[in-house]
Amino acid sequence: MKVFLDRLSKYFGQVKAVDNLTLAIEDGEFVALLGPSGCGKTTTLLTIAGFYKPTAGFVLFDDKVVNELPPRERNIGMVFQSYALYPHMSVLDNITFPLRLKKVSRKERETKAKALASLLRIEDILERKPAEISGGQQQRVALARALIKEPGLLLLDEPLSNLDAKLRVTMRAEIKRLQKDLGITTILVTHDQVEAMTMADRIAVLETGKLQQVGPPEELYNSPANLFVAGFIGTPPMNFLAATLEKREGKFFITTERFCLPLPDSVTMKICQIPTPHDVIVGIRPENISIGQGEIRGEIYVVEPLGRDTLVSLHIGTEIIKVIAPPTFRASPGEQVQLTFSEEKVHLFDKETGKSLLV
Amino acid sequence: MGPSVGLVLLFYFIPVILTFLIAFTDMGRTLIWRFIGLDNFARLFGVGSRDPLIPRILLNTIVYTLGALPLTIVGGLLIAVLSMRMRPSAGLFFRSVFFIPRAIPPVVWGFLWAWSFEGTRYGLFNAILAALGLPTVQWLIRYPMIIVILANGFLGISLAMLVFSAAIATIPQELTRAAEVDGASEGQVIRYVILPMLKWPILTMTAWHLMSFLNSYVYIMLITGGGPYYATEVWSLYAYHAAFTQYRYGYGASLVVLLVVVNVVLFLIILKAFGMQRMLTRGKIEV
Repeated sequence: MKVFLDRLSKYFGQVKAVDNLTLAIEDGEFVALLGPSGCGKTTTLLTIAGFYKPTAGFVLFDDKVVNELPPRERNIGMVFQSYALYPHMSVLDNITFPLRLKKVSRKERETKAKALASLLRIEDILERKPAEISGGQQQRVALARALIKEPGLLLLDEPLSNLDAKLRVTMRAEIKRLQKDLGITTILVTHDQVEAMTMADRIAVLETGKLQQVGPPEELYNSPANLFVAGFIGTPPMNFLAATLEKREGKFFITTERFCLPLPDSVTMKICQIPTPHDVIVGIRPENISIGQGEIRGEIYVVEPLGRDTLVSLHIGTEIIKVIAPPTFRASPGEQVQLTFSEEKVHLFDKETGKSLLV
Repeated sequence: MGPSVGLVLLFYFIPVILTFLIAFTDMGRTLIWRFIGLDNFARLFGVGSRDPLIPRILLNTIVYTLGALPLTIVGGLLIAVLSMRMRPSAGLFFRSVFFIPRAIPPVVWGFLWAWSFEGTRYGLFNAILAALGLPTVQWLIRYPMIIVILANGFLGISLAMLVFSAAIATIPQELTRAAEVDGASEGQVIRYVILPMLKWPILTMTAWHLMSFLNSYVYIMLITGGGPYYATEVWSLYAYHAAFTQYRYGYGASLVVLLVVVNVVLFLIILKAFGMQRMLTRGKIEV
């Protein structure tokens, strides 16, 4: 099923929970709605599900406006954050409930439930009540219940947030594989950028009800459209430093009190129209800084070994930046070091608008 | 702890024990204890000098309880479910209206019913009938039992509705939403999700109101006084009349003791019917 959100807005009194959101989701696509709490992602999902009526704009399923359609007529499956399993029904009854409402015969619905249960590896717990199974099993049951009526659209509302860290990594992969196998259009709501990055084909980043950027995970990571997306995507997050963009003898530089960095041609090409000097925010990811030699001086603040690599926090003047160093890196707090920024990987944002100057 | 134990003994155990003992006496207006063994109970069960009113009282009690109890539970459920599924402000209005019986003094509530169904043309309903040019009706003589059932039923509804509404409010919204996504209509959400989750409140209210209807006689006394000619005289009211208007304390106490036994037995039956054992022994795994 194709989903199209056409200038969708949802207000609660004066609060604009969703503000003029336009988003097209292709058939079979897995899209994540990503943002911090209160960004409007859950409101968007509940509007797609039909629990909220849009204040303005349209929700279209396969090119048909469904604004007025109640949830039960939308042919959707949904997994809630709390799983929302019916506590008085057995696992089997929970899974077959949607078919029971459709008056499917008991035999047929049990056959279908057993097939799904074996796919999700919950066939041993069908007779139990939800309170008698673990959180991971509850989630599989919720997925089975959402999938049994073969909906055109699967909505996942923070489905992994109640699982422990280890199980989350497993379920993340399983849901992604299941989605690809079934080819069902899926919308995932999450505040966890790792979840969004790993699972979704495309991510829509929302903040205060507004769409900030939409694109494949790599695109959001490599070419963030603004400061918000740049800071939200990636762990540890991108480092930001206030600087001035200057042009000397035909070449562009970024200068701060502490250093002056010439920009390579690949970057310069994109900013040659910008009048200088110009106040900018320089963004650089922790993995794009190397410690050892270079023009920029820093002072070690703390070193955190992570096994695979080492996370180093250091001061440049009064600002703290984070650097990912090799696992063998050792230094003590207060030690002076030299740094190099990979100029190719530098991001530049307009200080006024927060918009990227490079996209 | 000492003084409080004394108070509990004084105000709870001693009256219970005394009532139990008095049931085996023929204590009357003179307050003289004279044990007569099981004579009072023999009278109740129609052995020897039987009480001819007992079958009538028993029937009244059963009719009254079987009338008021379902009215209370079904009515309370209906108002709770409907009011909780409509617009919040409208729901609050309906719950407030149905809570009125509990908010006004019993005497006023009883008087309202007595006045509304007053047999002269001054009664509310008769005034309406008269205004429409229809003949008036002797409501309290022709339909006394229905009237006391309604008066007590609406009082029961107010509490049951409140308890059921509170229970519905604790049902996570995600559950009813899940049912809607699964394809349930409004009626099916109520039937398959809300009602099953009200099992324990329904049990509590059924047990509570069963006891209440068996034991309380205040509104019947206020509206009909048990009449006309014992038509609404229920067991507890009969015990009251025996003890405090006819001053047959011994006989009144025996009526009450029997009522307590019936209460306990019925309570146990209800628990059994709702599978209390299962609730208490159900295993749970931490999520």
